[in-house]
Amino acid sequence: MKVTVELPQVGESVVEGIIARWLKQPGETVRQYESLAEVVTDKVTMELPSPVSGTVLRFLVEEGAKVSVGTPILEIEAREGEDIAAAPLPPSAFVGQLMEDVRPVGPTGGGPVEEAAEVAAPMERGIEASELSILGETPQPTKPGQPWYSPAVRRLAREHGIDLRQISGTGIGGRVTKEDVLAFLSRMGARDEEERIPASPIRRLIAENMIRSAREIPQAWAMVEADVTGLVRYRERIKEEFQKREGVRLTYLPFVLQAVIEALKEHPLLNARWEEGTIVVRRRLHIGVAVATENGLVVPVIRDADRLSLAGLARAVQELTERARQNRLTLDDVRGGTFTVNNTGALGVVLSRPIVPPDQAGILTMEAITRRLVVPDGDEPSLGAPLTLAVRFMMNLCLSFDHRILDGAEAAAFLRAVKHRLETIAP
Amino acid sequence: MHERAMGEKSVIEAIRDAMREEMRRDERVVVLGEDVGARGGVFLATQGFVEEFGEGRVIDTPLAEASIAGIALGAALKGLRPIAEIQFADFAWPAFNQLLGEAARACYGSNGQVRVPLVVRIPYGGGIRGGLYHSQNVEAYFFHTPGVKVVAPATPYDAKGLLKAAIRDDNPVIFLEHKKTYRLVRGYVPDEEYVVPIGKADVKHRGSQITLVSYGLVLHYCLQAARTVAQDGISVEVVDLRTLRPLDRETLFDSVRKTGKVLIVHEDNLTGGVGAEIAALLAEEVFEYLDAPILRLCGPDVPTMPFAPTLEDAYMPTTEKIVGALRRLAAY
Repeated sequence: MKVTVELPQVGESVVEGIIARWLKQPGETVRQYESLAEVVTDKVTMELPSPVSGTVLRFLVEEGAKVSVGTPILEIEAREGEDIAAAPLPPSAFVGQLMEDVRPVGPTGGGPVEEAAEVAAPMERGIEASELSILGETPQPTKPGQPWYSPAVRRLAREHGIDLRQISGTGIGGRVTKEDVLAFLSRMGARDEEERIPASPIRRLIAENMIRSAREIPQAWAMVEADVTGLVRYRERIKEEFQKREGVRLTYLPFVLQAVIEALKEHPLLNARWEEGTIVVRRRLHIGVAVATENGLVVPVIRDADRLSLAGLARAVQELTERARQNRLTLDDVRGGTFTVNNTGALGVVLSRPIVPPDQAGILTMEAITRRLVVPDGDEPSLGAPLTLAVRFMMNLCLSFDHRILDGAEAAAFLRAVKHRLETIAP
Repeated sequence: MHERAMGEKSVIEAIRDAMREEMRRDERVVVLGEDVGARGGVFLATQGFVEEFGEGRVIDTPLAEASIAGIALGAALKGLRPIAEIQFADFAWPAFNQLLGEAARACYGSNGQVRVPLVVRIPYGGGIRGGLYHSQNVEAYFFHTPGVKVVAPATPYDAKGLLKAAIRDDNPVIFLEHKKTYRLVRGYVPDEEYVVPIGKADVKHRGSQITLVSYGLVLHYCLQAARTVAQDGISVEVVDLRTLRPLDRETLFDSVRKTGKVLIVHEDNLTGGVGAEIAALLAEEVFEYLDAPILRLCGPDVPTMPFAPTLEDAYMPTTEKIVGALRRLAAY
């Protein structure tokens, strides 16, 4: 691009000058601010700096000529990228446009001063922070590593009740900006301040079974308290030897399973299913044991549980529980249960109301064993006899059952049978 | 070459038109100053005036700013509506006593009985190779003083409308004209009569992320910078103060409540400048809307404009300096 250099305003009240000497000749390269000519005025002698970098093309006036301010004196072919006309102009008519062809008027001013070359080139390369020394350092949130919140961010958090730690910042040093908060709010607003989690396949299966049970089975509920002091002491006494002998830990669950199995034999309606007006009583006992895993509740089934000894039940429980927690259960492991036992006591619960699984007549929970102050059986206060109190290990047994198949009397009889077996274990 | 569009004027033409129209409308309006008569003013602001209005209303004065201001003040007290021209802001100092010590206090001191319908036009500003004595920014001195209004337009439209408002104002108005805008800025000025009210800022560019406050010449660099960073997705709102005193607080507050970030740009020195007052006001009134420190990009604290072109360039706020500051503020 060709740049025409004019004699600039070289001083207050100076209107003309003499080109005393050319300091560059046509064909020579010149850097921006390098001197082009020596100019003599009535006040000063000065060197005329080049407005751009490039190559001198030709002189427009002769050496020694007296020229007035604003007269074109030479042409320079500006180097690529030094387009002095490149500065964008404001578009609005009311704002006005910055002119490029302005002649100075008056002692000074009124016209632009070779600004173009200074504006266009640096715009291309961007700005170094050091060039903005007037602004000092880039503002930094105090204490790196510690969250710092601006007044605007804190106000928004207060107004909308947001915990700012939920928001990851996009500002300098990860600062949470006002925009970050507004974006967070608009995301939250779109979801009515709720989080939506797609259910896993196992969660959906549980949901379908629960819906089916709740919809099809009229469920009734009953509970008994069992004094398991004898059981607790017995287990305490044998558990170490049991583990040594059998290789499995002895929990309370096998004892309850054993009591349930025997009670089911006496009360087969609890081991039945309702099938379109027919009660189907199963002769085989496949007991489901509810196991909580990371993925949800699974109910592996101990097949023909009535054929297993206490040790066999303990081993079956441990094996199924381990496989359930390792996510290694097969479909056969979880199918075909005829009655279910849930060890809610392991969760610290003392009372629960389980839902009867589909195609079963009942589900029993064994609740947490707690020490309680009780009036032991046989010590009922009769006339004149002293009232005795004892601290006993007590366990609640809860039963949900299908009221189509059986009534409360049968359910209570079943519960009493389980309770009796647990209470008669001798220490 | 720029093709001149219909109704387009330069800033100096707009100023000339405003004075001529007001002098035709109201014969109490007179102009006085150095070279305003036969010469038509050093910037030709009063070109043709003495021919049209005569030497009685277009008065050449001695080179003595204290007397220009004092004569204008006296004329205003006696019922004229003088427009005094101080040839360069750099030479306004001798006039300060008349302007700030007397004219600014007359209305207040007389409990409103005395009015001073005086306009003082002051060409100011650098970037024009004017050196130490022809480049200064003087607005902060007037800005500090209750009793005067301080106007600093950036565009031909605003210059004309505000100068007419200043001439019609019943108390002193300091009318600051950036010399470099005189012929550098051209824009649309309608033929119809209009007045731009004193005390109203103007949002010259709408944006949502950063409020860029400026006035005068560098307002145009701010607009260029706003358009440059818009290409990077940074949305900047450019507020042209137009009037420095009284400040249009509500326009500033409304913009900052929206954006939360502020850059103030002026050519005048940093310390104690207009930007300092704006920063303080914003901190007091809209603190809870600020999402970043208030930044100022101003002339450095040097005694006056350096003569060396390279140093003058270093002094002046430029489009690229503003772009850099906007980018840093956006990243904060």
